[in-house]
Amino acid sequence: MKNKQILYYSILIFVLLLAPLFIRQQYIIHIMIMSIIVGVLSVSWNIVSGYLGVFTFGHPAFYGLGAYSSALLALHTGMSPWLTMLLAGLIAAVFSLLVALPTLRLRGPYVAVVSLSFMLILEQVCYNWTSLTKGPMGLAGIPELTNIRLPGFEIAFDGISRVPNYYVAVLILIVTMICMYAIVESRIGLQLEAIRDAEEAAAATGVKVTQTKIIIFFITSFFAGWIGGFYAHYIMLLTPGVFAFIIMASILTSTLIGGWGTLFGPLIGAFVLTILIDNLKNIGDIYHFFHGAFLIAMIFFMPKGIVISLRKALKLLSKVNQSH
Amino acid sequence: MEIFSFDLILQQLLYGILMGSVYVLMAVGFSLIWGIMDMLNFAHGEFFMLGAYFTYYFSQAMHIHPIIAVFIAFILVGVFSGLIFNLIIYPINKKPNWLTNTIIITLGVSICTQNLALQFFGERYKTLPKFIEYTVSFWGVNIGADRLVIMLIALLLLAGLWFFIQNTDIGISMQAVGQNTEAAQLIGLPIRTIYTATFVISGALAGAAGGLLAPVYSIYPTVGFMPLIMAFLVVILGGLGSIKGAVYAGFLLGIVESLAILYLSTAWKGVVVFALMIAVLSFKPTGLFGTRSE
Repeated sequence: MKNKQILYYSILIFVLLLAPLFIRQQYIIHIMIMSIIVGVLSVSWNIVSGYLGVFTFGHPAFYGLGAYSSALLALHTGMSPWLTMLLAGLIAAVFSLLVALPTLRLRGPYVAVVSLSFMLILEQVCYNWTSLTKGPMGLAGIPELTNIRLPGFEIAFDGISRVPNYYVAVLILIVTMICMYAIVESRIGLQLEAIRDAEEAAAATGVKVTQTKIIIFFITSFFAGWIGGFYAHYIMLLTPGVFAFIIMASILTSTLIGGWGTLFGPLIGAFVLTILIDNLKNIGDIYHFFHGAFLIAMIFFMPKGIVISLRKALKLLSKVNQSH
Repeated sequence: MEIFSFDLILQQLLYGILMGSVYVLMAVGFSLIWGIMDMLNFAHGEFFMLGAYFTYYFSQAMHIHPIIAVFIAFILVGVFSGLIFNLIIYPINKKPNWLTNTIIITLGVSICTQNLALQFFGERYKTLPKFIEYTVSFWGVNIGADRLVIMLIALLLLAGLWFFIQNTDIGISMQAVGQNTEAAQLIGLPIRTIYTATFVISGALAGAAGGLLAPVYSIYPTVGFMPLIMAFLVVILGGLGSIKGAVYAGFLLGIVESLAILYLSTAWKGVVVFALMIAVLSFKPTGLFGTRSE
């Protein structure tokens, strides 16, 4: 079972690595990069929500925070964007403690309420702190990732080809996948599910509930910040809109399409969603409305996600066939 | 300008009670829904936004007196809220993961409502004239009569809510369900009616809050966010699920805020609100007035 899983993941990564050889249109590469960004967010968010069972709005907040941190650091200190991306992850992770420390030891819905406030207030700060963030005008002129020089050849991030950026996104995705896989397959993974299913019982058997929750929050926020930093240097223009409800909706939709508590379902979901949205965009801004309606419909009809619902339906079908 | 004058402080105090009464209108509904059905309504800010737009629409396009327009908004948003509950929230009542599912559904409702408002009313900020153009002066205090009207209506609505919860059958049943849902069901209380009533009241109060504040602030599709966050803070301060706590905390917050405005810029309001939230949760997680150990 485990080997089979690893095989599937390897095939997936292999396909992603080879894809640019067959895809010539830059626009499709762009869509794939955006899918991977949503994918990294969803996969890491799903560890908190699907495995740990804690619902947080923190991810869009840490994503936006990472994007602004990395952009501002690169602009004002002249550090290499490669470094500021990682620093942005760290900053996001440290700020996640601000939400995590007071709320995760409490029962009830405090995490959701405080993390949502954090997101909306960061947006407000980015609007109002115009001397730093340029407010609604947007932060422009964010440096691109610097070229990589190796003996014999050079990888150029020059805006002509998006393929180098694509490979950076895939690299971040691979690191995310390995980390999340390691968490889920380790002892901690079992502890997470124990906390989700029966917190008291988990605590009674010696699981350090609050500590585990905070560590997971910290790690997953790092990835949200890191991919946020990448987004900043890829798009090169940031507006306070990065802290939008709609990013939370994208994470949720990807997770719902792919399946809660499945490790890489959300990644598939992210690709499906991003391609769908790209096609829907022709109908104008009203597509956000359909996005919201889709979320409601998913919870209504398939709260566990399309993949899991399909799997159930298939099992049911095969049972019916056998009985005939 | 004299900052420490008695007049000014009295004036801000009055203004604080006014803002407090509106915060309470917002927070009580959010708190009721949590206390009675253990769900978070993240579309609560959208009820505020709808109330503001309805008031704008009825008073500007239909030329109805704005105070009556607020009343119409109160009723319409209440009906809308009741419909939303019955159509898409109650049916998932029996499924697992109630808390998460309702968070996602109300988020979906919020996104849909915001974007519908954007389509119908556009991005442009709408402003509404004051309810009454008149300034009341006493003891050296100058306060707009419109502000006093806002405060009066808000306080009347709160008194009405209090009467409803304490004296009507549905109100008393609501308290019972809040204390123990299973037991309430066992003795045959109509759960669906009680839940619907809770949602209608909660939505209507948020709608009224939006309508009342419409002439004070501009109206735009995401106008509900800040009142939502203020409601969060009030509810955290007052203790989640406690109505009394929400009332105390709402007034306290309104007064503190209006006094703080004398010394702090409003641009940083959100940061202060967030810092307060973290501080209360770190040191007194049950809220300043709460006793529930959750």
